[in-house]
Amino acid sequence: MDLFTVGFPTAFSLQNLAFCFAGVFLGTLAGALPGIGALTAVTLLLPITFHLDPTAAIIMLAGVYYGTEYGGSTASILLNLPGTAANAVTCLDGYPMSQQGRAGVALFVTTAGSFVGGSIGILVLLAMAPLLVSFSLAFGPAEYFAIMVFGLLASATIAQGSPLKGLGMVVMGLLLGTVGIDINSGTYRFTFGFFDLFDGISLIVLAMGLFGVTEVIAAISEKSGDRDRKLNKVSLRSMIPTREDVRRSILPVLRGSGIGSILGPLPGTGPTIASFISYSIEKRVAKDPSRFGKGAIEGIASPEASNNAAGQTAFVPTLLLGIPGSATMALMIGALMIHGISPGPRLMASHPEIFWGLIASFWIGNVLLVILNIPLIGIWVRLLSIPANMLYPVVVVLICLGTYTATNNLFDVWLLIFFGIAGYLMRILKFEPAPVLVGFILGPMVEENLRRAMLLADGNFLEIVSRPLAGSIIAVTVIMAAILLILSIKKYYSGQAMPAE
Amino acid sequence: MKMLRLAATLLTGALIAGATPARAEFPEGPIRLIVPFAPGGTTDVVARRIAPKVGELLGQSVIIDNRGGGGGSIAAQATATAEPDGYTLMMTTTSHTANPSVQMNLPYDTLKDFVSVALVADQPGVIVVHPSVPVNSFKELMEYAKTHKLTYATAGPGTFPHLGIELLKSRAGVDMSAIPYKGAGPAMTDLLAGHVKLKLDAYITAYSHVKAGKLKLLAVSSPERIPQLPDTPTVAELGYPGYEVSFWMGIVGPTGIPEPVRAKLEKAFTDALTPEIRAVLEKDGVRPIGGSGKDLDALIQREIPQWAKLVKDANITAN
Repeated sequence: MDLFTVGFPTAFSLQNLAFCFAGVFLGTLAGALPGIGALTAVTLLLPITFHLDPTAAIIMLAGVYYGTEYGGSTASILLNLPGTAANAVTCLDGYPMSQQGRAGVALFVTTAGSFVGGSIGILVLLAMAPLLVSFSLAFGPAEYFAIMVFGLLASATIAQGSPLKGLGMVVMGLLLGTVGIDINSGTYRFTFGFFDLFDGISLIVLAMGLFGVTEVIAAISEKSGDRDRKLNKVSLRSMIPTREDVRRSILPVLRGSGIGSILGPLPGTGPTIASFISYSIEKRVAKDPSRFGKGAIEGIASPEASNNAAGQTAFVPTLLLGIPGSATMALMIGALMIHGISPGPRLMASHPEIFWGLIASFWIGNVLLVILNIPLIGIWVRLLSIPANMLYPVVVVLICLGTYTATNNLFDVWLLIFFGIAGYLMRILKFEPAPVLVGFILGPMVEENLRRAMLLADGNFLEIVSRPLAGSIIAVTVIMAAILLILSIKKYYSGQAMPAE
Repeated sequence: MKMLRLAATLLTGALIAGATPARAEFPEGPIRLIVPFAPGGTTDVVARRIAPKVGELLGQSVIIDNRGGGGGSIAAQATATAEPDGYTLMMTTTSHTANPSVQMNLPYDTLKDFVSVALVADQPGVIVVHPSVPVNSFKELMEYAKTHKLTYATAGPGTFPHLGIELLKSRAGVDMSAIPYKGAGPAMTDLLAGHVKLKLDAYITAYSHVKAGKLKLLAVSSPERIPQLPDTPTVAELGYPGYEVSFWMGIVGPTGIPEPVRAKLEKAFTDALTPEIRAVLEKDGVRPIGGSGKDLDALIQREIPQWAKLVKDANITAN
């Protein structure tokens, strides 16, 4: 098999090993630092790769990409600050765990879950690369529309507290998602004459504003001190999970890996959506869903396994079709094109050392990441246990810098501050930011794909529903909506009010 | 030849020295080249390929500044409002001439606010169809389109794959419905899967799919056949003379750059296309041109009314 004859020898060359380590190390660092995600880190490193050999370049950039997902959970758990958007959902249960003094266990479970998810993702990538390619091709606009509606419904179950407020926030996200030029008609929507809003609001700006800046404002206004004490407690011993923790994590990790592996290759979905969907599925299948949001270990194990599995399988369309699923993946393609290599169906045959070397490096990188994140967790925790009065100014600078480097546009920094303040007001009024993000990501995709599917079907909605794959997904969605509705009506009539938390 | 060149250089140098006697010779500091796309795309790659050579010729470094968004209009505005001293330039593309028609209320005037420096390169377009379309030549395609419903993918309203096909539709009198995508990448996914049937695409991105038998290549959109595809006819020679769309890349700066400075920049950007750099660009699927500012001016002045008429006829924008 080419993986062993070409892949591992390439990846184990001293140069490639060094760049793989550099990549995962920088990735963990970027992930752990709130405000800097994979996109920012890869953007900053891209110019360096012009001077590298293409295999080393792509191995390093890929290492940064999946490394951020490991590091990102650290900040989510310890500070309630998602290191990257894909780790946002980990805050929901990870931070409560750390407040209960179980930060060590949470960090261990997310790392172990990430490793299992990543490994399963690689296996799926290997075994099913040709199959996944055809599967992602079978996904047309109608199928995308169906799966996105499903995701939107699933996201409604993520919300904590008042369902009405949760719904309001999803709608807010949908509205924010419509800002910018409408690709069907070319009309500008909600741009208010701002030239810089033509391309819409960037996900980075919204996520960093609502989660990052808001958290900093809140931390300043809270009495600091207790946060720092908790941080120092993460010792290697405190990371050892109980037998009960392990038992509870196994199935969620496997489910998360499966969901992530499937969603990863679909363009536009990627790790963030995979983690959100995994979380809502865990909450659905749990015997006692009320534990979620209060430190349920399933709520961190599954999404973290899921985003890593998705992170690995996302390379299938990028490398084998030349189609990037996300902005970060577009940069990976760019990094190869700079060297005159165009990813596509012929890559495996024309540049086996790049394709197989990269896949072999995934494994080496994942092992390195476990070492970086379990025995050496102290380094990253110490990074975050810097006193608040020093850490937070640095975090604000990093968030602003990360936002600015993503687009080179100062307007985005102002918008970031605006969303930070808005997020703080939402927090005071007990509105959840997570559903805003889901509505923002899925809303435009639902619209875009529905309108595209309708154009292709000549305006006949029945033609969309009668497609086997799209039709089945829509049927499942309708059934799920019906069950949710019946359950809430039942609850209402049995005298139990909606759970007000 | 070498002597001639040396003489020309000396003469230009003398002219510049004569024109600006009080100031030291341009350039005294680094030059900023704005690219209207995020890093990694073709335009960015071309800019990064030529920048070191241009810098070497001018004795200063050329820094790439990626300003994506707004279909290139954000970068164009930054250029139009920059100090006209020759230290801020933009690598602009086909969208520059389409934006005045496609985008309402541009905060700059595409004709008045820019001065052309050089026409660097272009990327030939190819018309590709999904294998499920039962045609084997461009002529058959036009016949087929008259009796069947055909869909084509665009990278958004007013982009090169959109305008190119609209121009073809108006020239050939056929109808095809545009299916808009956010960028060429997702459009290609759906074309490969057969959800949409046709696309005008860059040669470099379409070629590997054509080689793999996933797409059929019917014609090229440039005025002449391209060296990589000597047997593929152009649309123009198939009965639509004058049909020409290409994704060009040129250098412009803000109006008001002193002519000696502009001329010096023009020379640097055209001389930068050495045989080695030309070979590298051709490998990227880009056709090096090395045209002057005058060539770029002519192109811009030809394209603006062409797109304006097309956009009006096809009702491409809604506002």
